[in-house]
Amino acid sequence: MQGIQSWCYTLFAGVLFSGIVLMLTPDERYRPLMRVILGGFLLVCMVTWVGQINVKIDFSAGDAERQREQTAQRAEEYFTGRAMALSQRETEKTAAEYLADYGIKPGEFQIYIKTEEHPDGTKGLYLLLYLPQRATEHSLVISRALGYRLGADVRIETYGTEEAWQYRQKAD
Amino acid sequence: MRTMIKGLLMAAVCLMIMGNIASAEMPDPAMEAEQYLAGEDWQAVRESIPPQAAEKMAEQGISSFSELIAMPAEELWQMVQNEVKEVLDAPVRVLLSLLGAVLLCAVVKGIGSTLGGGVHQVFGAIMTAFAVTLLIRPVMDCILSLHTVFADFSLFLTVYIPVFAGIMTTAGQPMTGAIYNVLLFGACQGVNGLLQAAFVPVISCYLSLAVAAEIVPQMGLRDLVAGIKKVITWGLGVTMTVFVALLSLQSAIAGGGDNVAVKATKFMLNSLIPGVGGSLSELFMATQGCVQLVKSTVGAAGIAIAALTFLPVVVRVILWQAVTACGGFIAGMLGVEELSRLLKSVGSALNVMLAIALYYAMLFIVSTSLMILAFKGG
Repeated sequence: MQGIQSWCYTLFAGVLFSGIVLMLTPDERYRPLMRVILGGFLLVCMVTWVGQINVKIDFSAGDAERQREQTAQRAEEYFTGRAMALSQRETEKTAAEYLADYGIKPGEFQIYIKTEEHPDGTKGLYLLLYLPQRATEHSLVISRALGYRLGADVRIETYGTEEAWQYRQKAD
Repeated sequence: MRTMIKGLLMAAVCLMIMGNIASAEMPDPAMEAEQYLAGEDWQAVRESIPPQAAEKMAEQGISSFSELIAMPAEELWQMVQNEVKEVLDAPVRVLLSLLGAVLLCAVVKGIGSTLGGGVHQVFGAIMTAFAVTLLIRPVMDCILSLHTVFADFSLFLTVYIPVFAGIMTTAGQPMTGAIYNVLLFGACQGVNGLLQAAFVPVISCYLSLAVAAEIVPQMGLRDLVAGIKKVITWGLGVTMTVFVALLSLQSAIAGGGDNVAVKATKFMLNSLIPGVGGSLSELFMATQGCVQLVKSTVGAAGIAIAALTFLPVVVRVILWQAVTACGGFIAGMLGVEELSRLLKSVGSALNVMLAIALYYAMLFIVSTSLMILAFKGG
């Protein structure tokens, strides 16, 4: 910045100085000679800038890349969280509607969205449904029907006693 | 017959199930996007909006990105009109003064032969100096305003580009996002570095040389001035073309790679979708639709912010350009060639300034538009 600025000042001052000198030249005979001298002076003014320029430009985008990854991760977490919350609500609603046919009331079951990592490294999703002992005989039908409705693998666990149910609820 | 009844029954069952699936409570994409954009992540972007754009947004009562991109064309036109009205006063006054000077010069030149050979030359020199003093201040103001706009806009871009690229990554374009981030961020850093270091001195120098070339025509500086202008405009054109071509090519290549990258990505939202179906799948897809909406909203808002940032200064430069063009035209018509050439030189300096301002704005606007329209992988 400083280099270019000083070059500009030098050049402009050089042009003005040369103009004034040309105007003040008393005799027409000296004009060509003065033009050669002043032209040379101007050329020197123009060339000296090369050594004075010091523009530093940083093209690195390392910080920007880190920032991009962090933003992507935060956005991913936010939207995954939202999707999971909405899915949980939808899952509970669908399960309650379906399980009512078997006489299972909303407080008697619990359903969770769980994620698991497959051997190939990809992530998967399944639903874990806790049912009372009396529904054991229907568990296969319930698992398939709910799995079909919700579009995910439904795994069922049953609890036998009231104590086990209390323990289950506390643990969750 | 039995097969037909069976088929009808199956169809009825399917319809019932489908009806159940369709009743899933879908998220409202606009509301979800608005909720996300109101979060802390976007606080830094909102705070970095250049004051020129922030002022215009406040005037229009715009407080969110969605409102910004929903601004109707009439409001935008009204904004341009208001901007012109606000700054029109000074150019009109200067134009009237210039016209007075041109008329005086023309009259003195006309009766110069009766007053003696040197009078109109001296008068012409005085009027040239008068015209320079009239124009130099507003033109310098334009140069300094542009310098400030470049600095503010660059600050905005350093925050905006990585965040927008991050949203592109989440929206299923990790490779395109990375290319946009690296290329545009690097280019903006380079352009900003160059502009911060050289814009004011180079434009001042160009203006000085252009004026000096007309005041002292014997020095033969006209070719140099024309050469500088040519180098700047060619440089801008070539770098812009190369950059846009490179970005388009890289985006096209990365678009294919995004498909593969999305499958291997560690982020969950994309990898969960293939694992589920039915209503849950629809929910996940709807959520990803929200991410796409966020991407489009943020991209369009960035473009609108760029336009609002450059609008006031571009309007000012165009008005001063009109003043010099009008003055130069009338001076030429009345035969005052010295003033006509001088005004054209000042106009050419304003032209170069306008080209640089539009170059910087368009570099960002074109790149971001390409990214909004880019093919979504995954």
